[in-house]
Parts: sequence; structure tokens; C-alpha cells
Amino acid sequence: MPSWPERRKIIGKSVTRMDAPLKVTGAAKYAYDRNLPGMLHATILRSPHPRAKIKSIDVSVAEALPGVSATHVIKDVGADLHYIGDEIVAVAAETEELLADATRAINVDYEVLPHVASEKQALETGGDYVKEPRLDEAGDVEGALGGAAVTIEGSYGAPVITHVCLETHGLVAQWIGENELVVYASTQAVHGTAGGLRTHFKDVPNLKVTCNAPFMGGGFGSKFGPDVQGITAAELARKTGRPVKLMLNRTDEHTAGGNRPSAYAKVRAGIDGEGRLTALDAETWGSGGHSRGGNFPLPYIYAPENRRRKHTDLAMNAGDARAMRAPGHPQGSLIMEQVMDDLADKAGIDPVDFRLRNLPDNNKTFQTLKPIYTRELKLGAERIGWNENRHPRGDSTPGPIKRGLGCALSTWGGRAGGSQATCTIYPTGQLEVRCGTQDIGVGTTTLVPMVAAEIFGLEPENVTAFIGSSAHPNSGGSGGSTTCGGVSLSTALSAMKARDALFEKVAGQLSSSADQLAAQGGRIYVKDAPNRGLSWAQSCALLGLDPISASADKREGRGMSSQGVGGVQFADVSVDTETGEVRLNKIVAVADCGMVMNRILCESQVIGGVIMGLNYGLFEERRLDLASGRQVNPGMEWYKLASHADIGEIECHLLDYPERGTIGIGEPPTIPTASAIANAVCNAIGVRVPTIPVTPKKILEALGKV
Amino acid sequence: MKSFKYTEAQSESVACGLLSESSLPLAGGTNLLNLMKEYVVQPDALVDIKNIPGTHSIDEVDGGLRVGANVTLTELIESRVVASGYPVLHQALVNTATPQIRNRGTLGGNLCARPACWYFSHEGFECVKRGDSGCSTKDGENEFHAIFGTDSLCVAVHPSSAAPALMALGATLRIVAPSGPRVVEIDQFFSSEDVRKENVLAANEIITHVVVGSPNANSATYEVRQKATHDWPISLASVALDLKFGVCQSARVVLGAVALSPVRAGGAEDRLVGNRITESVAEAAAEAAVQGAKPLSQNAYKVQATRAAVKRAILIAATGSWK
Repeated sequence: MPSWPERRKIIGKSVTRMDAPLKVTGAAKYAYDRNLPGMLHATILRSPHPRAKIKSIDVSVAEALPGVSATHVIKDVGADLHYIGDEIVAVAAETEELLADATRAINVDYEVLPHVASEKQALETGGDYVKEPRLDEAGDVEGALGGAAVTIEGSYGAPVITHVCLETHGLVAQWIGENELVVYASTQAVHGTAGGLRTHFKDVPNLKVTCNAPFMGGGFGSKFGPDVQGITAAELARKTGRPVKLMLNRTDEHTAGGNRPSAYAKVRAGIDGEGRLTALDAETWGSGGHSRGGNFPLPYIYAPENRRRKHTDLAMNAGDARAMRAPGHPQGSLIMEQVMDDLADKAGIDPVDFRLRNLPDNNKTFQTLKPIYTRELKLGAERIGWNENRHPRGDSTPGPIKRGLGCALSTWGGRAGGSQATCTIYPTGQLEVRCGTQDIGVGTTTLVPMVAAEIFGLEPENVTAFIGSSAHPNSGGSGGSTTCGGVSLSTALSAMKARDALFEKVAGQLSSSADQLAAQGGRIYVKDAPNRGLSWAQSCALLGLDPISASADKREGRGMSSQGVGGVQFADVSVDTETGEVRLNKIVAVADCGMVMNRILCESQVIGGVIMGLNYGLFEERRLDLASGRQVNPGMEWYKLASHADIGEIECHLLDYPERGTIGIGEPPTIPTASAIANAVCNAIGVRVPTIPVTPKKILEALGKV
Repeated sequence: MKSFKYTEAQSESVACGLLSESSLPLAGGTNLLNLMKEYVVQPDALVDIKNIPGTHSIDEVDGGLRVGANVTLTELIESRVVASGYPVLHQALVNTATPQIRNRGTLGGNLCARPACWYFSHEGFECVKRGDSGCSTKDGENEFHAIFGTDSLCVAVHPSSAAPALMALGATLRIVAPSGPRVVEIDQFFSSEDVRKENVLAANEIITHVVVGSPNANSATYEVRQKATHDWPISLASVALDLKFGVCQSARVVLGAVALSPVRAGGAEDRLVGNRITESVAEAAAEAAVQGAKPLSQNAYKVQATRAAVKRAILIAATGSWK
């Protein structure tokens, strides 16, 4: 049974991003940077109405414009349009500058239909806009609330936010001859994107499809397939016989590139005399756009015996939701962790103590996590200065600036995802690993050489990683925090097989047997007689003309990975009660991901997650004008995101549990940040701001200063 | 964007001769080009006025300052004379927009920038400034809009951070027309009969210089902003005081980001004159400043934000600190 080396020389250390020089010098070519000879640019005319039917389409004027090469109808006459941004016709032209003029020259007649642009309007309109509620019930909620020592009632919520990928969605498509399609995509799944294109063009005989994504500017769950725009680019490329680039513009990215569903809740909850959560009654609703749901976990990590949850998904004439970094969890954490703080404050129990009393142990995962959460709560409390600085709800010191502390918990799975890799040793000593995964910014490009180097007793610089292309062995999409586990295992296992094959070649020279050899420090030697060995170059030279190639599937590495993590974050905020301005003093994030693979990149993941989470808590909101159904802030001017000066200090602590094997860390650290900030603001100003983002307007309203 | 003709004007008179309703002046372009990309403004021609001689320097003249319209916001922020003698202007600009915009954007452009309104900047909405009969804002998303003058046709806010400070300093503007130069008091600049415009400039006129009087260390700007940088103000107040032995002889208090033009708060000025500046005097002036505010459906909070901005700007102007 394969296992991780007992003593690890590289895994767990901080190895700087190996492609950092390419990124900081601009040498790294992202899909958006890809400009092929003879390439056309393309864009999509989108519905200007939130709900309509297409009566007619006339592309003749647009096609006659100088520089316009082709159009491609996506939705034809008679089709229904569900939101502002719904795709209608694509146009390809010689320059990017021509595109807006060209789409304005396409004439479409619409039958405009009534629309719904808010959760409230959906509830008022009813019909198809209100989905069948789902009920989850256990125990006796009313009885438990009646017998509770302390009860609270509250309303909490979060609006729709968008992913705001720095690199927008899209790809460059190029046909080579009639049956080979090569795309350069901004994607979280090179194999998934190639697969989507293969399905779309399945009637092309002997079709070859390759998707390349050597660098990628952020996806956060929104970029798993070719999408409408990717298929459209490939169609236009086929029609024109030229490469076509179709990247979304910023407006389309906001309106049509996916989003996180809204979440609202009306909650009643109660605790017993021991401060244990005994009852939760929650009515919740939210919207994931015109066709997606918006459900989220509640009571999240806690397990009151008596609970009732009624959730209603609402449809709206707005862009559909897509997976967004820990789907559902930030919403679940936000609502439940505020309920927990409201209960603790009303009962006069310290919120950290209250959470320790209520850590669940109702299943195996939570039994594993209970000591981890306990350690995290204690460490986080110490690092934020909880015992010295925390005061009961409402800062009673004089002056308008009030300071507060808050905390919140999170959980996630993070199992190892499907992954295969091939490791090749060349007679020259060169070493490579091929894996059809992709580096979506997290550091996979660095992870693969680290893991292989660990197995061979070499340095990461001695390994060449070939990733970011569907030409390499199948590896899953980068979602669900599954990449690190899957790729670490397939890389390690293929490297172990290749190493063992090399040992077979070397054993005779060393008058030993393969199972008696070790690879360490750039040498292969006999374990019991370390002086008897060969250098790496000498060993590989024994291969003659034939390289060693070995493939492995992560499934062969049972026990080398696991799943289920717990995280805790603390926030320290200052709130100006005369202006409503919030400033973050510090966030402490304590995270667990089993065996840490690369410490500095793991910390980078946590810090990135915290920044995304603080934006959720303080700034982000997709705002729709109700009358028109149009987003008023689909750009970087009014869709607010933290500047560097808004971020404050972030302190990150990674706990080490190497015996648990690898577990993903991508999603968990973004989950509890907004919850911790919401609780810290409440602790500062003494009143609850019911929804995020916590803005100056909402703070001044909550304080009764409006 | 619509194709346009581009000309570089090498002198004031050439520029004025080329400008018209469909031929617009281009300076830093940080505002105009965005509007053109969105087809909100669709000129046939642009006249580049960046290279007009004599409009790029900050000069000490007659005990005051004469600032060329092509001086960038960064140059103003980095000017020692401005920082020490005119803190009200320095503080107004130091965190406005982003470094890139401040490096490119000019003082003249800042004064002539179009409204900061998300309904104005997209042709999919109804907007009187774009010639529509209705306004999507009044019953729409108006959290960041005007709280003064909300009975008028347009309820956007003026985007200039420099304007309230220059009004507090009683600046004058040198404007050139085809017929020659004229001088306009900044108090008279931000008005227009035509709802599609925000100031008195005719289509063939440009600002060439801004002139302010003697330095005033008792001046300050305080801005309430959701984000620390890279954000529009929720409210800002610029204040210039004339103090003699601690007693206020005269005062100018100007509010920004609360109306279609910067607003002189005469009531607040009256509360200051003749008094020593204490916290309670500043509070009374702040209260007077928001008299007459008529918020829209979503922005009553801006009244409180404005109170805070005025009070703090007065205290900083008088004592160097609001705390």
C-alpha cells in the first residue's frame, strides 16, 4: 500500500510559486493575452430586456459593415429570453474596436414581457417564480422553544454577488484543417472544456479537440465548460476559417458569468440552561437567477435536536447562479453564526465559550473535527486578543469610533478529486510529470514538481511539470477544493512507480535488490549501506535509449488523502457611528487542511479566501434596477471591492495534521469571514445590521440616525 | 465607440475655433472616454487641449495661486505650496479616485466631469441628461444620489472633489471663448438652464486657469467614503475659515457629493461667524448645513453623513483635528 514518505524534505515547506517570474514580468500568456495570426475578435449581442420573445433578427446591416466577418445566431426567432444579458447573436470582426458598433447594427425585434427583478417581486408574482418549498424537520421545535431558557428571533440575509474573475470568461478557438480544434481557454477544467466542445461538434468525423490553459485568471467555480461563448467562438472560427477570440467584457462578466445566490432567513432559536442550542426554526429563501436554485446548509455545522427548516427557491429574470467558492457555505455560516452570537449575547455567555459548548459530534467527521475546532477557537481567540479586548455587545467607551470583535466557524469536504498522471524518466536524467489538471492561480504548477521531487529525492527545479492541457492524462476540474489532493496523489503514485522501475535497473549495478534501494539527495543508494550508490545522472544513464514512463490514478493511493476540515476566523473592526464607515483592523484565520503541501501557497490561499470573504461582508452586491431589470453596477466603478487599504492585517495559522493526508483548502477560508465581520460590527455598535454588505447606510439606519 | 475625428489644438484660440456641440475638448480623458465607450456621449470630433501652452503649471501670483487647467491631480497633491497653504484642496484630492486616474486626470477635467450616476452612464436607462423625458433614478437605486435639490429634473451628484475646495477658497476661473478670455467666480460656474449640462461653459469655451487668493491654513476637507480609496464620496465638506484671536471672522462651507452642484451652506457659515470654534458650534453649523435636505427613497443616511463631514471639516480647519 503506497503512503507518503515518513520524513518529508520538500512537502510542507514553503516553495515560492515557480511561475512567479513569468507572471510578474508579463511573460505568462493567459487566454486573454493569446493573439494568433489572422485572428478575429468576437462578441455577443445580448438581450436588453429582462424577459422577452424574439420576433425577428436582421443581421444584414451588421454583416455589411467594413471589417465584420461573420455572425452566428445563438437564439433564433421565437426563442425566450430570460434576463438582460441572455445571448442572441454573435459577431466576429477584424478588430475588437469594431465589435460594439457591429452589435448595435444588428436589428432585433422583441415582444417584451413582464419581468421579476427581486426576491420580493418574485414572492408577489408567484407562479413559476416561487418554487415548491422544501421542509426539513426533526424533533419538537415548538416544545423546545417553549421550554428554552433563552430564545431569540432575528432576520438575516445576503444579496446576490458575482465572481468578478480578474480574467473574464472566454477562449480563443482555432481549427487546424477540418477536424482538429485547438482552444486556449480561461477555464477551471481543460478536460471538461474539451469534452463540452467534443460533444457540441460530435458530428465532425475523426474530431480532435485540445484545450490549453497554461495560466488562468480566476474562476471561483464559474468556469467549468466551454459555455455559450466558447462554443460560439468555435462556431465562428469554423465559419470563417480563422482563429476567433471571444472573451466577455466586464459588463457581460457581471450579468452572464454566474453569481452566488442570495440568502435570506427569519429565524427563531432557543438554548437550554446549560447554554446548549436546543431549537432552531428557520424560514429561508433566496434566488439563483432564472433557472437555478439557491439553497444553502442550515443549521450549518450545529446540530440542534429540534429543528424546522422551510426553504423556498425564488426565480428572477436575472443571470443564473454558478458554483462560487464553497457553494452555499458562506450563506449558511453567515446566518447561523449570527444566530449563535445573538443567542450567546442574550444569554450573557461568551461567544467563544458558547461555540465550544455547542460543537457538534453527531457524526464521524464532526467527531474528528471537534478537537480541531477547539484548538482553532483557542488559538484564534489568543491571537485576536479576545480575553483582553472583547467587551459585551456595544462598545461603551466614549467617542464615535467603536471597536468590536467577532468570530465564526466553517467546514468543508476537500476530498481528493479524480486525477491521473504519467511520470517519465529520461536517460539524460530529465524528469517530467504530465497531468491534465490546470493551475487556476492556486499553485498547482509548483505542487507537481514538489511532490515528484519528494519521491525522487531531488529538488523541485529538477522536475518539469506539463499541466494545463487536455493533451495530458485526464484530471478533474478544479472545483470543490479537490485538485490538491487528486493531483498530489496521481503525481506521487506515478513517480513512485517510475522510481521503482528505475530501482530495478539500478539494483544489479549496486549488487542489491530494488526493494533495498532509496532515492535521496540526488542519489540512489542501498538503504543499509548508504555509501553504495550512484548519482541520479549515473542511474538514469543505465536506461540506455529507453525512458521509463509510469502512469497512476489517484485511486491507487487510498489512505493518502481524506476529507472534512474545520476553520475558525476572528475579526477586529472599528466602526464610525457618525459616518457608518467600517475599517478592518485585523482578521485572524485559523485553518486546517490535513497535511500541508506548500506552506506559503497554502497561506496565500487562506489570505485570498479571507479577502474574498471580507468583500462579501462589507462591499459586494449585484444591484438590479427593479423597473428595467438591468444591473446598475456591472463594472469596477460601482461594484465595490476592497482596495488594498481596505483589507487590514490578515494573520493566518495553518494547523498540521499530516496523518490525515492531503485535503483541499481552496474553499474553506472564504466561508466564515463575512460572518465574523458581521458579528464584530454588532459587537462594536451594539445593534445587529440585518444584511450584508454592512454599509454606512445600513449602519446609520441600524443606529437610528436616519 | 462611434468613430471620431481627432485634432490637437496648439493654442486657446485654435481650440475654441474647433469646439462645438459635436466636437468636444479632450484633456486627461478619464471621464470622457468611458462615456464614449458606452455611447453615452457620441461626438463627431475630439479636440485635444492637453498641449495648450501655459496650462501646465502651478504659479504663485499676487499672493495667491494660478493653476493651469492641464495640471494633473497628482501634481496638485504633490505640490508643497498647495499642501501647506491650501490644505482644503490637498485633502480633497489626496485619496480621490485611483493613482492612475489622478496621474492622468486634470484639474480642468475634474471641474467639468459629468455626473457620477449609474443611470446616466448607461443608455439602457432613462436619463434627462441624455435627452430622455424621464429619470430612472428617482424611483430607482438612489442610495448614492442627491439629498439637496431633489425636486429638480436631475438628482445625480457632481463628481468633482476639487470643486467644493475651490469654492471654499473663493476661486475664480479663467475661461476662454472665441471672443477672448473672461473671468467667472466659481460660485457662479456650476449652473445651467439646460438640464443636459452642469455648468456655464458654452460648447466652444474651455477653462484655462483656476486662480485662488492667499493661503489659508485654517481650511480643510473631510470626506465620508465607504472604501478607504478608489471610491466615490458619500458626502464631503470643504471649509475655509478666517480666524482672528480664535474668533471666526468669516467662513465658507461647501458640500460635495450631495447635489448636482457643489452647495454653499450659508446657514452653517452664519453659525460660525462671530464665534470661537468649539465642538458644539461645529455641531450647530453642521445641523444648519443639512437644513433643507430632501433625501430620496434610499439615501436619508447621507444627511447624517453630511452632518459628520461638516462638523469634522470645521474642527480640522480650526484646530487641526476633529477628535
